[in-house]
Amino acid sequence: MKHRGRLSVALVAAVAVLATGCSGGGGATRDIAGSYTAKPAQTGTPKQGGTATVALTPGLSPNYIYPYPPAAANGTVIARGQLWRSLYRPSGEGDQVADAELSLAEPPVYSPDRKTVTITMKDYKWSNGKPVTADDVVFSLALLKAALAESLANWSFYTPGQFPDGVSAEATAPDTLTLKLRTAYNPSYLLSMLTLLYVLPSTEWNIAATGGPHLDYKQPKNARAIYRYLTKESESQATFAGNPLWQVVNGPYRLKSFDPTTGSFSLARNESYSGPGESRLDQIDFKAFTSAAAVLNQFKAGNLTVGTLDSSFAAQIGALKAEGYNVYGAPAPARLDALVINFANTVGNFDKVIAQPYVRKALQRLIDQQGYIASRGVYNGAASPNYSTAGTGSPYPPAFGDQPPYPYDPAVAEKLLADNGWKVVPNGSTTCERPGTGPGLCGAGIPRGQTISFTLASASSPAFVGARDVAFASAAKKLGIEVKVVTKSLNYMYANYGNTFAPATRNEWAMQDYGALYLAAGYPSSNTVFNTEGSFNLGSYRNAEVDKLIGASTFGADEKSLSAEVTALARDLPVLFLPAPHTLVVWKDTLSGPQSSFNALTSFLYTPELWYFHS
Amino acid sequence: MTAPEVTSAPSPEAETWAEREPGSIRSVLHGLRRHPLGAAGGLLLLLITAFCFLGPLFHPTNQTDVDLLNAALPPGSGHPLGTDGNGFDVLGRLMSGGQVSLRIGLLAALFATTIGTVYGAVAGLAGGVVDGFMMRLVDVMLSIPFLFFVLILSARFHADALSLSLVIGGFSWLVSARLVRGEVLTLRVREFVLAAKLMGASRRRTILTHLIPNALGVIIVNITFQVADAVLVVAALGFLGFGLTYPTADWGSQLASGVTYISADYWWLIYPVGGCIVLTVLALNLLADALRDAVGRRADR
Repeated sequence: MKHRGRLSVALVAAVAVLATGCSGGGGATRDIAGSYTAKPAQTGTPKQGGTATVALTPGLSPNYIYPYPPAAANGTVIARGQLWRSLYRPSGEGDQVADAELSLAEPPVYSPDRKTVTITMKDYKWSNGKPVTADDVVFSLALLKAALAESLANWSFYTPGQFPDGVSAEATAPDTLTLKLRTAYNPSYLLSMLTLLYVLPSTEWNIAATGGPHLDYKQPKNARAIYRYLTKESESQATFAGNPLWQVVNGPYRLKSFDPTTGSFSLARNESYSGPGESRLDQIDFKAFTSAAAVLNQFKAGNLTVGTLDSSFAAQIGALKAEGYNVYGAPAPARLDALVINFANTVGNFDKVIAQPYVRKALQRLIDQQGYIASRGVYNGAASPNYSTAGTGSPYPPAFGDQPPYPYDPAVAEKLLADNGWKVVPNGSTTCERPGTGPGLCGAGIPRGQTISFTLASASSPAFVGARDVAFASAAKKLGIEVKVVTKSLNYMYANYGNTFAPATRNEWAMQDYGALYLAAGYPSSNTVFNTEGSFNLGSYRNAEVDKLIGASTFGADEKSLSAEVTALARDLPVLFLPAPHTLVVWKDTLSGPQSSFNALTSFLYTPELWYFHS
Repeated sequence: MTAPEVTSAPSPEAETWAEREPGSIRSVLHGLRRHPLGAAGGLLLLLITAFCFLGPLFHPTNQTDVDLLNAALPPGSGHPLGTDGNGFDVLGRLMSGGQVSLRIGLLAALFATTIGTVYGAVAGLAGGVVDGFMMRLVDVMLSIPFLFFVLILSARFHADALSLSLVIGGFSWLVSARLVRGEVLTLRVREFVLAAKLMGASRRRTILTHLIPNALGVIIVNITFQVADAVLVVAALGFLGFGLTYPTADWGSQLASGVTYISADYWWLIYPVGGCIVLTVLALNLLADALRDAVGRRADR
C-alpha cells in the first residue's frame, strides 16, 4: 500500500497548491512607502483582562530562563525583561540609553572623578511582597562575576578587565547602592552596562541546592556554587514553569507555562508588580514560529494580537489594516545588519585573504544596498541604507555622514583586486598571480594561484536574509569569487557560530548572516563586539587602532569619541554592512497602549504591562 | 541439466526460463503494454524529462546572476512564467531545478536499489540466522525517522546534489532489500537455482547470474517508486529550508521561496513548481503502478 500513500501525498500536494489561496493577478509594483511610518495613537477606554497572543521572531525557539545566559544562548532567553527587570530598562528610543520610567532605580549619580556611582532604588516589590533592595543588585553582580569566573563565554557583553571586573558594589542602605569603579567609565557606556544587569532575588536564590542553606553570596566561592546551582536548574526545561525559583520575579509577569518542544510560552500577571503600568492583561501567550509566512497566516486568521511582519510581506500592510490591525514600522535604533566575517577561518586561506583590507573593501562594494532595498525579492522598500555600527538615525553618526566610504560599485571592486595582484576572471575563478607583501601584491600568506572561496552561513528566517545573501553571492560570482551559501537555523547559528564561545566550529563558517545585532540604543558602543578581547567578538576581529578608539568611548568622558569609533569601524570593515530592515510591528486595533510601548517593539522590547484591550 | 545454465552467456533454454519467471524484465514490459495509465505515466515522465533537459536549448536563461531590479516580475514577454525573488526566470529555473531533482531522484534510487538488491539477495539466499540478523538490522533502520535524521545531518553539514543523493539512497535501500529478499526466497527453491547449486555454482554466481536477473522486474518497479520518493524527499528538504542552495536550484527550494510570496499573490512562484512536483511524482507512480501490476499479473499466472 505504500505506493498508494505516495500517490496520496502527490495528490494532497496538488490540492494544497490549488488551495493556497493564490488569487491570481498581482505582481504589480506597489508603493508601500508611507504605509507604516505613522504611529497609531493611543485610543479607547481600557478594559480589564484579556489574553494577548504574541508572535516570537520566526525561527527563534527560546530555551533558556536564567537571566544571565552564556553567549551561546544569548538570543534564546525566555521573556527577557518580563520576569526579571534589569537595574535600568533599555530604551527603545535611539537618543537615550535607558527608559527612566521603567527602570528599577533613579538615574545614577557620579562623583567628580566618575569612580564612585550612587544609585537610589525605586520602590519596587518582588512577587512575594518583599522589596527590591540594593542587596539584590549586589547579589546580581556577584552572580555575574561568578558566571565569568566559570567561563568568559558565560556572558555576551564581557570584555576582560572591564565591567564587571574592577566594579565593587555595596548596599549602603536598603535603597542605596554604591558602585566603586577601579577605572572611570563613560557614563553612557556604564549605563548601557547597567541595562544588562538583571536584578535577582538575593534572599530566595542564594542557595546551592534545593532546600539548602542560604549562603553568603559575597564570598566568591559561595557565589559560584549558587551560580552552578541556578544554571543547572535552568537546564531542566520541563520544570521552567513549575520550579518555585523562577516564580520569584520583579517584572510585571511570571512564567505560567513553557513548551520545550516549540519554545512557546505563556506569562501570567505578577499580582505584586509595583512598577509603572496597570498590567491589565491577564495573560500573554508567546508563540514560536518557524517561518515568517506562518506568522502572516496567523495574522490573517486573526489568531495573533501582536507580532512583527517580515519585510517581504510589506505589500500586505494594506490587507492587514483592512482586517483590523495597526502597522507601524521603523528602523530599530542601533540595529546592525551585516555579514559577520570570521577572521580565524583558515579554510582555503580565508583568514589570510580576508585580512587584506582591500579584499573587504572589494566585497563591500559588491553589496548593492539601494538595489536590495528596492527589490521586491529582498526588502520590498522596507529598509534603510546603513554603513556603520551606529545604525540609522544615531546621535553618534560616522564622520562621513551619508557618503559611505565603500558604496556599491562592482567595477571598483574588480579594480581593487586587479591592482593588488589578482587575476580577475568574471564568472570563473579569480586567482592571486602576484603573491607577496607590498604595494600591488596579494598580501601576506597568500600563495600564487590562491582562489577566493568561502562559506556564508545564512539564517533560514526571515526571508530577506536568504535573499540578500544570494544576491551577494551572485555579485561575488561575477567577480570570480565563490560564496557558498548554506542555510542554517537561527538557534543553531546562535549556539555554534561564534569563535569566543564555539571555537571548535570556527572553520565551518567564513561569514554568517543571522539577521540583526542590536547595540545599546542611545550609545551604540561596539566594545564587546569588535574589541579584540570582546566576548561577543564572534569573528575574532582585531585592530589595535580600533581598540584604542573603543577604549576612549568606553572610559573617556567625551561622548563624541563614539563617533570616531563608529567611523573607524565603518572604514576598516570588521563586517560587511547591509541595509537595516525596518521592523514592521503589527497589532490588533482592539489593543492599545502608549505609543512608546509599540515603538519599543521595533527593538523587540515588550511592555505588555502598558497594554490594554478596549472596545 | 548441463553446463549452459551456469555459463555467463545464457543459452536459449535459459532465456526460456527467464521468460517464464514472473519478475523478469521482459514479462514486465509485456504487461505494461496493456496498462494505458502506466503508458500515460511513462509518456508524461518522458515529457517532463525532455522539458528539464532539452528545454534550456529552446529557452536559454541566466540562472546564476541575481537580477534585483527584475525580481518577482509577473509573467510577460521575455519571462513566460515571470521571475522569482532573485530575478531568475521561473521557466528556466523550473528546468534547472527539475534537472537537479530528477538527477538526485535517479541517483538516490540507483544507489538504494543497488545496495538493497545485493543485501536482500544475500539475506534471502543465505537464510537462517544470517537472514534473520540481516533483516532485523533492516527493521531497526526502518524505525529511524528518516526526515528527522536528514534534518539533523543538514544542520551540521552542507548538502550538495551528490551528498543528498547518497544520504537519501542510504536510507531508501531498506525497502528494496525487503522486496528482493522476498523474491529470492521464492526463487531459491526453483529448479534452475537448485540445478545451478548442484552444478557447483558459487553463491556469488548464483546471486548475480540467476537470482538478480530473475528479480529484475521487481527491482525496476522499486526503482520507479524510489525515484518518486526521492523527488518528494528533496522537495520536502528544500521546502523546509535545508535543501540545495544557490547557485543550485531544486523544486523544493523553489516552492519554499515561492510560499514566502504566497500572500503577495505571486502565483507564478507557486503553481508551476508545485505542478511540476505533482506531475512528476504522479507520472512515476502511474508508471510504477503499471509495472507492479504487470509483475503481479505474470506472477498470478
